[in-house]
Amino acid sequence: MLWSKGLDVLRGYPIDGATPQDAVDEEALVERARRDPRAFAVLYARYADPVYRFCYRRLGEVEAAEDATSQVFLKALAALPRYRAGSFRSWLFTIAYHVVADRYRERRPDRLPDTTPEPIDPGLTPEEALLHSEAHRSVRALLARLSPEQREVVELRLAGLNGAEIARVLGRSHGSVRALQYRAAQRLRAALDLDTERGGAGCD
Amino acid sequence: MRLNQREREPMDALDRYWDALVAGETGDDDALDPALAAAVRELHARDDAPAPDPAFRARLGQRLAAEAAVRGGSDAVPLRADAPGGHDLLMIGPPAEADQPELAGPAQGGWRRWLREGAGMAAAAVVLVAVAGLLVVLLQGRGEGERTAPSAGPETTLPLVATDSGFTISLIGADLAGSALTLTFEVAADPQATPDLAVLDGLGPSLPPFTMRLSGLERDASQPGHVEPGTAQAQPFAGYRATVPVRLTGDATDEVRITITALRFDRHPGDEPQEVPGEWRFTFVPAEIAAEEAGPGLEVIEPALATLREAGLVFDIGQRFEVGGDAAWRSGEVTLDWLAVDRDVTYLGFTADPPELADVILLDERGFPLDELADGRLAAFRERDASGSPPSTRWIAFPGLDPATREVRVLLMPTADPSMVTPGTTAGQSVKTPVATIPVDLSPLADLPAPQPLRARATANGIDIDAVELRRGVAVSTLTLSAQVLDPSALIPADDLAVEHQILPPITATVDGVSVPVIGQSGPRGSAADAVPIRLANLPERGTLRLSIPWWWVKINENEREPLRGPWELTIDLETGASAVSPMPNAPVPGGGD
Repeated sequence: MLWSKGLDVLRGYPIDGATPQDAVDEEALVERARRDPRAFAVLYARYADPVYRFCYRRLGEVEAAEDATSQVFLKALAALPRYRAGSFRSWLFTIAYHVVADRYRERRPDRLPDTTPEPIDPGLTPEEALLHSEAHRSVRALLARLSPEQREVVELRLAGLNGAEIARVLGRSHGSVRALQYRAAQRLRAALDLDTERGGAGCD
Repeated sequence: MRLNQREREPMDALDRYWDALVAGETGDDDALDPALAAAVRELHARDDAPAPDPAFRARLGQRLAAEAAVRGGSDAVPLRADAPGGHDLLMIGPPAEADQPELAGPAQGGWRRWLREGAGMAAAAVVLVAVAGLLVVLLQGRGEGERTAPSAGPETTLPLVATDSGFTISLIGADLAGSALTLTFEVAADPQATPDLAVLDGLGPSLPPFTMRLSGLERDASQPGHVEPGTAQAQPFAGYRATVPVRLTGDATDEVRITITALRFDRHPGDEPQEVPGEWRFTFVPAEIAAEEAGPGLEVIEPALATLREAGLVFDIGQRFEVGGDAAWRSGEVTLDWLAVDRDVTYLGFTADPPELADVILLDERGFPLDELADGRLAAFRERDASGSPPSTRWIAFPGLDPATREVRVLLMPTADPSMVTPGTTAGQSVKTPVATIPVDLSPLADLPAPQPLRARATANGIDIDAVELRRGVAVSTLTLSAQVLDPSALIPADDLAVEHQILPPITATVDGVSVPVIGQSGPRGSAADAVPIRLANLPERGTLRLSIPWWWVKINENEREPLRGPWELTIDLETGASAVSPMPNAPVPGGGD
């Protein structure tokens, strides 16, 4: 749910009865938040989960993902007055993308995502933790089969961005994103051993 | 020539499908490959990245509320928290000064103000032409760490990233040929620290479009020389990337430190340049990072190319294409040099200036893009002169083509963002996506022998490796290997390096003691199949083939492979396909990888 505990503590700003589930015009929300930063609560509630999950996928650790998520929203709040109309989501994920890049810089090479140990939520039972670890490892194993560029695109897809938004985040053309994700899907298909109707385009 | 609808359709269909999927919608699309759609759905189904801990959400919400109250002029005065390292989420307070761009140091105020003023004065088409002053600090040895803090340890992994003055500069690539070291940097603007940049073009926090030139590669005379600056004083900037050549004067295994001390922006048109001072420091061992980044050169497939050329299966193209339209960044030329086709592999050679100009995509006769088997890079980089100027020659390996094929097409997909503008123009420039049509005659492939079943096996450390099939090509023969875990308790992990870098095992091959080049093998990426092909160049028709495999990527469960240690020695009688009784003497030659 978008209205969760995170929003409960964002007191002091009237939301006018709107719920995030409504098809509220996001640009109007952003414009409102630009005029009064306290309205940022709505945007935080909407994007806390996807941004955190994006950071988690990239960084592979709960603590690092939480730190990065904090930075993303603090930076976004600070930079909001300079936001110009467009896609708030791609703007926010561009910040997230750069925050994660900064995290890479701070880490030793052996702590990069591909080699980090699997995080286990301490609240899970051992069985749940095992299931979670295996399932997530397989997702990471799939992503590891992609080139870095393909992986960036796919991780932003998993974050819920559309192709045009991904292009803006990565500073690439939409066509380039399309080509990257097409190749990524081909690799994923091969990795998943799915049947293909593409007789002439076998992958090895 | 622009990309036509038919050629674009498979990629567009997947894009539409994925857009719908992330929007929570579904839809049928005749142009969509159902297997690709299934792969995408499966990926999303498996994604179980957790939601944030509710307590964390609440704490961050509190902090944001406090921040918002301050910025919104609330009477409520939250507690002050000094926030080193950002680990103070339980505390409430305004941001530390470093978080506030308007409180940045005086050295940055001028250029930010300039940018702001510039944005105000200019229309939406304002474009910066950027010139970066790059000062290479020349240090030798590892004992001088006190002068500049190293940004990486001795085991360097790219990218190396440094942030200062609102710009993040990443060293994303390096190529080493003797003493010639070519470095590739990528520049990005910090969206918070350089908020004014967002004003310029509506690209949000992205770095606005500009053309960047690197200059000022100067030797610090006060330090022992270890790197000599390149002679080129200016390098066209491709996208946000710049390639900088330097020349090593010491050993490539010695640590090198480079500091970029300024980014200089030339405002367009004709105004005084503005310099952004900073310190972007990079410390690395050239041999380490270059070895990791550089792909195999043309020499790896040269033996096969020579044979294919004799057989009339190398088709010279020599067509030059402009890519990227009017956009100065990631615009340039791609020359398609040649196409070489064998039974199971197709090589395309091309020259790109700048190197990362476009994705090069081979389309089959139905217009479907073929997946890449492998990518060979930087052959020309290794041979470039001191000026280090592009272009670079690359080659890509694709799957084989139907012998009945009469023409193939190559799509050049620019990496440029079409919304970028170039000085003196307006936004929304067209981006050219050329398509080349190459006539081919693949009749020499029609008479190749049927695939030959093999019956050879080697066992080591709980793993069987079987030679399954040999498919002879004109020059490139494909030997299919299959691995099976017999005893999980006997498995020995291979070198961690293999895991970390996804490298391929150095397989060697000989026939009757004479080396046979291993010019390619399937890597762990994109391949979860049980059988893995090994590509051998100019394999003799008779004799005893001996393959030495030190370690191997072995499928250990449904979805994963692990590098496991052998060694395995396979001996195969090439006439019968059976295991040879007496292995022949071995004269191994390290195999490359295409």
